[in-house]
Amino acid sequence: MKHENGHQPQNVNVSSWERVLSAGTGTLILSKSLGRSLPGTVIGAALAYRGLSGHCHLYDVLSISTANGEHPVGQSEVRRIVTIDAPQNEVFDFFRNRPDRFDLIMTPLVESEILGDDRYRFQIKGPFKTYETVTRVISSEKPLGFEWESESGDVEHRGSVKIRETRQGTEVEVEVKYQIPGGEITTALARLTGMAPNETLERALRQVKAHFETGEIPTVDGQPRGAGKSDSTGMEN
Amino acid sequence: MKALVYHGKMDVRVENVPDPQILNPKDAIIEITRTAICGSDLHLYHGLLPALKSGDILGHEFMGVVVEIGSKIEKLQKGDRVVVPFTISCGNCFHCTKDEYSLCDNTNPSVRLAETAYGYPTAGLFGYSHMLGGYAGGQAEFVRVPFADVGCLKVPDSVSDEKALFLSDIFPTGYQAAENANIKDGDTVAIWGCGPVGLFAIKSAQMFRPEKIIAIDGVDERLDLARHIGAVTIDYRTENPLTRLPELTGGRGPDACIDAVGMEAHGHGPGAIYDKAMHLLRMQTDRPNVLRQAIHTCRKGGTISVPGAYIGIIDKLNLGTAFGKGLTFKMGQTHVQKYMKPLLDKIVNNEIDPTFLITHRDSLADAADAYQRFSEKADRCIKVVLDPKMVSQKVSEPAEATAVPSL
Repeated sequence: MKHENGHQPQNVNVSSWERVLSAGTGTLILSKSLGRSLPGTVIGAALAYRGLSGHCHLYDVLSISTANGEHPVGQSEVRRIVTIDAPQNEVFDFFRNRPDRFDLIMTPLVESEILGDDRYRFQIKGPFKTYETVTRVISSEKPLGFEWESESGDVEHRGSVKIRETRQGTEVEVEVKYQIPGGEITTALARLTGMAPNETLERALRQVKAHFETGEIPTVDGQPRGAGKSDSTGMEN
Repeated sequence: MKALVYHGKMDVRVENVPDPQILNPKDAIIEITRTAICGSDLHLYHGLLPALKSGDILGHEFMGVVVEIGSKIEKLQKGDRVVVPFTISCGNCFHCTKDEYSLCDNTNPSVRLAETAYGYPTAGLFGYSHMLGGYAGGQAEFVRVPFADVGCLKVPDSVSDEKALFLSDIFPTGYQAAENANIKDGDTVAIWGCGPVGLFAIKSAQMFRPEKIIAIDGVDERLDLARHIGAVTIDYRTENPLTRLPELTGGRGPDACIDAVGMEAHGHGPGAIYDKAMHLLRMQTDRPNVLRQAIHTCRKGGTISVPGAYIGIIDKLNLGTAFGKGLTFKMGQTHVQKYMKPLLDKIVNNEIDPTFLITHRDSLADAADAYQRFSEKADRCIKVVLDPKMVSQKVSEPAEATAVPSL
């Protein structure tokens, strides 16, 4: 995300109430962990620093800011690129003509429905609820790509697919700008649960690549495992 | 079916789990006839891979009989006797078509974890944590093999299970280590670690006609076996490789150094103690003592080949020494599929009998005890082979066919 307004003084990218929370929690963890637990000490110190300085490195990496005035709260942008060993035309057709395939590759996160006239309804599972949006393709040029924008629904967004032929294969660049309900908090929660647009898009593009190059999508869902200590997975796959 | 399941650090158990199913069209299900415990399984057993989860089935060295095939399998049939590489590779991507099977683009479903760790995902591996795909392993009665046409190698009737088994990992891994070491006729090769990979690295290095192979370890039976197959040995408990290697190479240093130890290096001296401390404090994930020694002792302009597994971050690596001496590094997971067929041919032609390092044969049911024994290097244990059909015995019988005269 481009911070067009520039950075605030001292790279402040954490909102005031979050700074208070971070400083408080950090100090608490630090006091409990000092001399006892190295990870606790590190986390406590990092949180305290985050609160006092108002700067969060993780936010930096993830291009988030919750500080006032930096950019409209909740507006985000994801962009991912993958190289697929398949002809440009076929890759274009997959993305352009078969948006219904998105529910195949992004199951169980996305379900889609073709409405006609280049309009599509998507249902996207978020951390709190399922969001619905109707989108419309606004421009298209075979085999180079197309653009779309939201017409109605919960998630205001616009995006593009650009497809380039290179000597290493067909490069697909997908860019989505969106305003997610619930703003940065929803986005942060989605990141923690592996449902963030960035990770979801990356996984989807990897799966499209595997689909083209191997005819199937790698999975371990449904394979045997032992009872172990806990059935909670906590990690993807 | 029965399978060896990871429960936590130093805690693995054989328990009943559901049978594997075909999940994708290019899958096959293999009924396992022999499976082995790899030295790299001990990294898992010791709890060093954070992406391993309680409940995961371990094991990546196995072979067996095809009992079920997916709808898009073309080369395999039910009843085929096959050995399976530990790397899961699609066979079609940029890397697979360049024989870089362990770098396959398309077989690791854990994209997020792998990208966080490596930048880009590498191939999925059997039974080797969720960073590498989270695939159920083959210390079990059955296993699902994805992309089975690319992975499975049919074994001719003339080759026994035990002779073919190590084509799954340690023989190709030792061979790739030797190939990566850029060994020339008349060179001297130093190999740290005389575990199974180090021993196969010795055997493989011999195929490149070096003048001398120097093997370094601190376990008697491993040193015995290394000497038995033709290496000069350094026992690091009593001799310092940093002074001994120049002495054994006319002051030049070995032309090629192979680190067949990896992230859990032991050893003596300040470096080893520092690593142990940093490791315990979780300030580094890997202990690079062997790598430091290899960099220091390698001749100028020499090559360092690393088949030993490293997973994370290391500290105090003498990279300046490596730079100053103009060393070449080659490393990585083995591109097993590249080597299986030519190495099978060597077995068929009796150029090598890979069973030379088997010290223990156990029932799969006794696998937990076998892990403990292997981890403790107890009972002169070098390599354990598990047989799912063997009846469980509390005390495993010493192997019959071992080539070590002193055993």
